[in-house]
Amino acid sequence: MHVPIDWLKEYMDIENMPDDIAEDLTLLGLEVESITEGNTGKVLEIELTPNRGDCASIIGIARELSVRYKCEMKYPDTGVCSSGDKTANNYCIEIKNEKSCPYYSLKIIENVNVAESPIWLKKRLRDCGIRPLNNVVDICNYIMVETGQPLHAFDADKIKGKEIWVRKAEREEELLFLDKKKRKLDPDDIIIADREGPLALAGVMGGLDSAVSENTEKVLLESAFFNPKNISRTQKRAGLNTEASYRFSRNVDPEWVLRSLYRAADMIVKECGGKEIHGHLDAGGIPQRRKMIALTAERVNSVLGTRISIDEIKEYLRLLEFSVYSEEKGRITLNVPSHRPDVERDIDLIEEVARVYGYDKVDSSLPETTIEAEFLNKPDNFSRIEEILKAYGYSESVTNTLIDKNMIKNMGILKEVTPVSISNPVNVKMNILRPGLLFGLLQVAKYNINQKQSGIRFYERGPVFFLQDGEYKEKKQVAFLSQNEGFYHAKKTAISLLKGMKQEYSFKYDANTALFDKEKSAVIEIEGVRAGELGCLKEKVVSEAGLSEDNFAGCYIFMDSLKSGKSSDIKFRKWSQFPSIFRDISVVAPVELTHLDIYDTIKKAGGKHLKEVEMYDMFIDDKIGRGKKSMTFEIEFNNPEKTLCSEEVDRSIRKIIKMLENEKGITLRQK
Amino acid sequence: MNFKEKYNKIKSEAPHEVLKSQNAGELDKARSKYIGRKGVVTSLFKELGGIPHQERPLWGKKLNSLKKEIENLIEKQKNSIRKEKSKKEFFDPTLPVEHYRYPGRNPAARTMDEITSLFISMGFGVAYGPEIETEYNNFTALNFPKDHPARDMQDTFYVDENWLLRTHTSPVQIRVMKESKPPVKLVAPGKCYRRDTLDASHLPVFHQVEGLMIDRKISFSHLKGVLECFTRKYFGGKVKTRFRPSFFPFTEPSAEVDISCTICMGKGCSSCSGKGWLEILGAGMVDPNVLENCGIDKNKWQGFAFGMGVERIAMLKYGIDDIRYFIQNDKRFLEQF
Repeated sequence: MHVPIDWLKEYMDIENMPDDIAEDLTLLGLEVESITEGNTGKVLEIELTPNRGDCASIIGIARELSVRYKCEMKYPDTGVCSSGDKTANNYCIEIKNEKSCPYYSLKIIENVNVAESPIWLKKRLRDCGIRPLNNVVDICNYIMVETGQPLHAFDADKIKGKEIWVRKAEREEELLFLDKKKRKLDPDDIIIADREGPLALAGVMGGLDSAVSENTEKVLLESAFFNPKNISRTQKRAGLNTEASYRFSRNVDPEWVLRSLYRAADMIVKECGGKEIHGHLDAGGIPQRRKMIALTAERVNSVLGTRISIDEIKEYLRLLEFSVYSEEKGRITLNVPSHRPDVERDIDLIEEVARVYGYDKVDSSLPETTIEAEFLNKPDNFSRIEEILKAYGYSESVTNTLIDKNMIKNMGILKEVTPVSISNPVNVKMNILRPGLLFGLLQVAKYNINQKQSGIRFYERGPVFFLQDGEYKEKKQVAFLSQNEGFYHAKKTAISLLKGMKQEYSFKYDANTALFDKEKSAVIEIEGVRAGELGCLKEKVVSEAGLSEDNFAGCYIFMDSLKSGKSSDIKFRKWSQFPSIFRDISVVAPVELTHLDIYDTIKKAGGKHLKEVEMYDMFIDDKIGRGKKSMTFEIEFNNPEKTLCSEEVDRSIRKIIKMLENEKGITLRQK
Repeated sequence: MNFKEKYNKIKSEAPHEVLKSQNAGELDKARSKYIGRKGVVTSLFKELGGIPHQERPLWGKKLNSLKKEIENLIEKQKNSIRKEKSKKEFFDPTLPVEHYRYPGRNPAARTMDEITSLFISMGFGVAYGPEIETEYNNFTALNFPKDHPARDMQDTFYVDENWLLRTHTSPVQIRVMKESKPPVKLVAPGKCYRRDTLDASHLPVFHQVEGLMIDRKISFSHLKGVLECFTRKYFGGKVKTRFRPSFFPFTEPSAEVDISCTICMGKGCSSCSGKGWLEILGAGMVDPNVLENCGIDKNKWQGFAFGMGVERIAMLKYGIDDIRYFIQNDKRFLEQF
């Protein structure tokens, strides 16, 4: 909303500087976006909140300012004939649907001389962002900006017959609009029509054929009250946001429907010549708003935390044109003025009091609460996950939750999970919610590789989404991805993460999933439940993500399978006070025998004092036998009750070697 | 060999042997050979007794100076070996080292954590809610009128007729108020969605932190106190906070909260479009209709709510000029936070 300060001053005596006016309006809730130099001096651009339709006019803005400056408003004079004459000039109006159009009025002006507007008028309109057209149209716009009531002028001679209908559009009806575009009308649209068809899309835009032109002699001037909801729907449907629809959809002031009509007619006669036909014709009734609200100072101060007296409250509300209807025992009942349909309850009045009192004048204080401060470890266990992954050089990323369904379809993911689709995506690349985090991380890798960044290690935490048993599921995941580091790096990171979370886990090496290579992958199980996966990403998955390079390994874990990581879960455990004995054995085993196989055998055979088995060397060499590999284990023995003696350990080692030989065909390596 | 011959032999051989030592080990050997506890010079001292009485002081002096001479030579050689060695093994402390490269964080996540922690320090709890929400929790319960433009398919992502991607974290308020009894004091951080096209100032997916405090006597004055405390702690003590009237369906009275521009200190610059103020959050007293929708007696309980855009705050705090950086995740971006 553009407001020339010069125009504003017509309704009140103020000398304030534009900067101060802007600041004061902003503090009243009418945010001034900018102050520019217009044709008539400084112009304010004000952003209106949707509840303040009453301020979509110069008078509305002036009214607010008059409250701030405590000066009287000077409303323009308007003489209105109390009764409309439905038969004036034999015209007749019929409203078909009074719910969508409660009131419609017309005024007739004859022998009009349509020409260019005077310079002062054109300047003001331009400053308000409205292009001048001709004097009749310009005056309609001028009055609209002044009072907030949109008006429309028809060329009476272009209307077929004398009957004007306000009705819903019929299916397939069309209208050639003022902007020279033909649009199909919707059966929910309100239109103004003559016997031949639509003349105007009510409250939004007029038709070209019935518009006022240089040749117009007789003007039908329209002022109406349309249902804001209808106008709102129509403007959205048609994609037409006009000055008129902006105001109608925000509620116009019923008080000004007729006053604006007469004021415009007077001005047309004055500026364009012509003769005004006495009175006006109309249909329906102007909606009467008689709302009354009760209020006490106690309630005001309880909500605001202030000490404002009832007299101050009355004064603030009087300035806002709320009048006191009754008052007893500190309880006042107020009449809501017709231009404030947004004020319906006492809480709305309290906001009005606060606005005038000034938000800045409300003292700040800290609440005394009845709530005990909760001792919160950081919720979830995000911070520890962060520490661990950052220590491993993984950067935290936050990716778009919306991804491309086609991409994951081509990856073969849809066989395993049903993603949640968006009914109205902005584009097809963002048409589902991610069913996993690795898809986003691959995009991050792609972006950084294209940017020639080295060291691709990224992680993300956050929810993933899928459809299960007809329900939308949302589960928190953590995932990481790295390039050129392979399966073992992913495994190492996953173990560090799980151990850091004090999490018991096991790996199953038979993952057969869409994301990971069959061989180079593992399933993470926690308490026997599948909690995640890790491994090398399938080439297809990588290439469908748009990456030309390969060799990505990653992991994802569902966070709800992890322990809470709260300090209350931690119990201190003493470690053995007696020294451990370490023994190394090097064995020769068939290549295809897994570490896990050998490890488990050693553990089984090692007896109750075997504490840890760690492989630290492995090689494959024909010298030790074709199809064989050598592995060296360090085995730790410990007895928490006493110092172990060498002989006990030797016995265990012999048992281990024997079992390895007997059960797995593994021999000791000859030095 | 008599005493004199031995003396002469040592005098002629010792310097030669010392000077040909190439390292500390050889030099050490030479030292023990001549002047060590069992060295030849040391043993010659013991032989002084066999020297005629009148010649003894002379030879004593000679032996002492020989020992001194050898010691000096050894010291000299030691220095030259050290010099030689350091020439060969030049130590360059300025060489670059392979260092830990801080991997970094996404500043949206960092900022969200910081804001959340700050409110935790003020005694707020933390609540989470789903991102796929019901239209009821996201709009209806929050007092949005039925035909409110935000409900439109133009502005909001829908999953089906009843479910949508939450457009703000405010539905967490509804969930908490429905599930637990007041008093309530919590923040709800999380992702939100709006059907915007991606550009320098719009992300379809962004983050918010919502706050809610309901008790018997919570007032607008407390809202100001708590939020001023937040802006002071988060943006620094010099920052000024301004509350101005605004409109949200779920609060009444509603306020928009500005801080004095962190770049020009309120004088007016391009970052604040010359206004001197930066808008950082929306807030207000929870609308009685919202309380009623959650089954809370509006005559007994009242309170405030606020919500802030995490990316916006991060952009102000760190001077980031394009919101798209947040979802690009460029390493050079992440490493800075």
